[in-house]
Amino acid sequence: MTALLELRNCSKVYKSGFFSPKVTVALDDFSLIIDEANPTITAVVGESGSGKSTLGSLLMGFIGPTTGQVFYRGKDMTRLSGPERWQFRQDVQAIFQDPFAAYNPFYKVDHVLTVPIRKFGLARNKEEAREMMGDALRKVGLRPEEILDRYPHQLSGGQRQRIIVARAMLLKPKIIVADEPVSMVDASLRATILESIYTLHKELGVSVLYITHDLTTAYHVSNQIVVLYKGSVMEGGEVSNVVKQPQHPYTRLLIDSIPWPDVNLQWGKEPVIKDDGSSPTTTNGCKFASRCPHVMPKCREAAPTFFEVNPQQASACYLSESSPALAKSDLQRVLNKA
Amino acid sequence: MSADSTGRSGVASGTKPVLSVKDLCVDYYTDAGRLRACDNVSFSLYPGQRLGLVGESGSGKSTIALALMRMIKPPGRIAGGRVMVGDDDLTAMSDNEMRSARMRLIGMVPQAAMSALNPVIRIRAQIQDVLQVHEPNLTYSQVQARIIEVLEAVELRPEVANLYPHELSGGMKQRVCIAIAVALRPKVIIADEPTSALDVIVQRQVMETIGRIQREMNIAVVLIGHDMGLMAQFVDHLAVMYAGKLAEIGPTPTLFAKPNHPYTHMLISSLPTLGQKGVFRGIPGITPSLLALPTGCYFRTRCPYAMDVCSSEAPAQVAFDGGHVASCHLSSVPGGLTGRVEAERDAEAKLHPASAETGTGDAGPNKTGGFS
Repeated sequence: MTALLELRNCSKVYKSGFFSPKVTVALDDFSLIIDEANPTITAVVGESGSGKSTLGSLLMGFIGPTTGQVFYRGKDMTRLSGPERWQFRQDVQAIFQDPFAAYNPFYKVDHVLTVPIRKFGLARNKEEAREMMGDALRKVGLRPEEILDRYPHQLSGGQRQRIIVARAMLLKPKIIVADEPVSMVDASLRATILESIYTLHKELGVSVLYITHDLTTAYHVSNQIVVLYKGSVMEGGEVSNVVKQPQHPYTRLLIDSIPWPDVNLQWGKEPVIKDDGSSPTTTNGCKFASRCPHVMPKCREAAPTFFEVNPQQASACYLSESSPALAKSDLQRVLNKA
Repeated sequence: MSADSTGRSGVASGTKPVLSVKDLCVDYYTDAGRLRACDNVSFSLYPGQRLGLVGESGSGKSTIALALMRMIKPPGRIAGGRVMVGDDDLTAMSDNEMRSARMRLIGMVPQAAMSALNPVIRIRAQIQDVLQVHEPNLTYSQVQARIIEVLEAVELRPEVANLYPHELSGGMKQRVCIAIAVALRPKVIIADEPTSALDVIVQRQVMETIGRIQREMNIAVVLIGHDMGLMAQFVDHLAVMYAGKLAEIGPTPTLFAKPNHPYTHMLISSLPTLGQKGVFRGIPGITPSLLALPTGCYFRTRCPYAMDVCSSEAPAQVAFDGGHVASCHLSSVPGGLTGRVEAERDAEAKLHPASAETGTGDAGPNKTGGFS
């Protein structure tokens, strides 16, 4: 069985400056397989600059990897034929962060729904198209009569984002790449949007790549999680394991920094160590070393491999050295168990 | 109240409030009619205190921020009420007096740091600008010393002064904005969603900085936002806004332990915790349009506990112990909101005994939008 979408040893390097270019490794030797047979929701978490959006862009084919390959149904993405590329565009859909920038303010919101219907020839006539739009909107919990024939500025951020989810759904995709879909909407509305995405996954068997910096929502919607820092995977595995018993200091820092809605919980027990720049993205050692409270001399010499903390969780940190070591390519196996 | 990493603390009673807002009303005049974005809002703030102002988009929280700075522009207008900072009445000031009071008495940390800074001017000049306008007697070297001082106060290296905004990260830009806001040591700072564009770790660092400066300079802070988690961890008093009105106000621990307005209760429970996986409780419906507000209580259209009286009468403010005030008809019902919430929980437990015990959240669809 060939994977629907696969990243194989992908790296993306950005250079800035002409004479002595500053090299930034946005994604470092990353592999991921998204299977068609068993749809999953994979959360990719990390702070700004961790390479999570680069990963999303690679999967959607917006950018190509510097080294490594992206495969779609077993075929290298750069070698897709016209019809295959068309199929790819239908199979892989995106939900972006900003529900305000996703619309052309001069068009009514119907536009974002009618364009895919027309381009992909989903409906035979106008009534059918109207019907499809209505169905899609109802599925994400909107009332079509309140939404259609309106301009984007007349709708709330939450409504706009749900229309984008509806649009993604119209095309019956296999994969949805959701890049921070809820970070710009009110906390009280996040639940409804995540719920629509979750329903998509459950009812239509869509795989979702949920890119976020928020571990709480990642915990609630996803099955498996990958924690990225400066382009490298720090920890991965089944989501409850990783979030409830984080092994990597970076995952712990992320969880420790969440402001919990509970006045009895103390926010930020451990202080945040500032990045002094001694671990650039091109280092041989562990990239988190300069901010790690448990840093050891060997961390700066060679980056740790993955250690299998338990069958459903792997951490790239010498603190878990007592657990069996894993090859980098084995991370997918750990993720698949989730 | 325990002091935590951000150094939240109580306040000595008997001191004079540094900011007092009385019956503040703000109207916007639109083609479709006049709408009241801020409706008879009153609260006061003591030196060194932190007040949180929460609500969804369109609840009027940013309008209050602008009104406190007297920066409401036409078609908006402060229609009534009073804003006092110490002994100065901001609403009675002339435009010129207000210009001098702004930043000196009351500073603001804006929401979008990237658009708040001028992209073609170095950071140094942007801080210098504030200092020179308000304190023209300072010499050049004094101004430079002050710039370095405020940058260090927000944990930035002095060299940052020579950079342009695009050379800074999001967190650093927000720190520069904080530096500008505190450059003149105002008595009050209004922070309008200062961390909404930042990720969790940077958010924590920026909030820690605001907390530390606030404590060191004994500034009162009004933190505006929609994240109840951040509020729980940062502010000592909380005001909940809905459709331009104050729904509830009181000390944060009290509001979290025993909210007396259903909206507060729903805001708190809408936040995901690490409890039941896959259970989200959003608030159904959307905020009503300020041009077509429901009769009686504005929240009744989304309130699960709405009664007959809610559609006919607007609830009055009811005061509870410890400066806790809520506007809800449930306050006059025996048991109040707590009684209703507990009754609902019991009913749910009876219907689905298994799920209530194991806490797997497989309670099936319910009207607050749980799913699994």
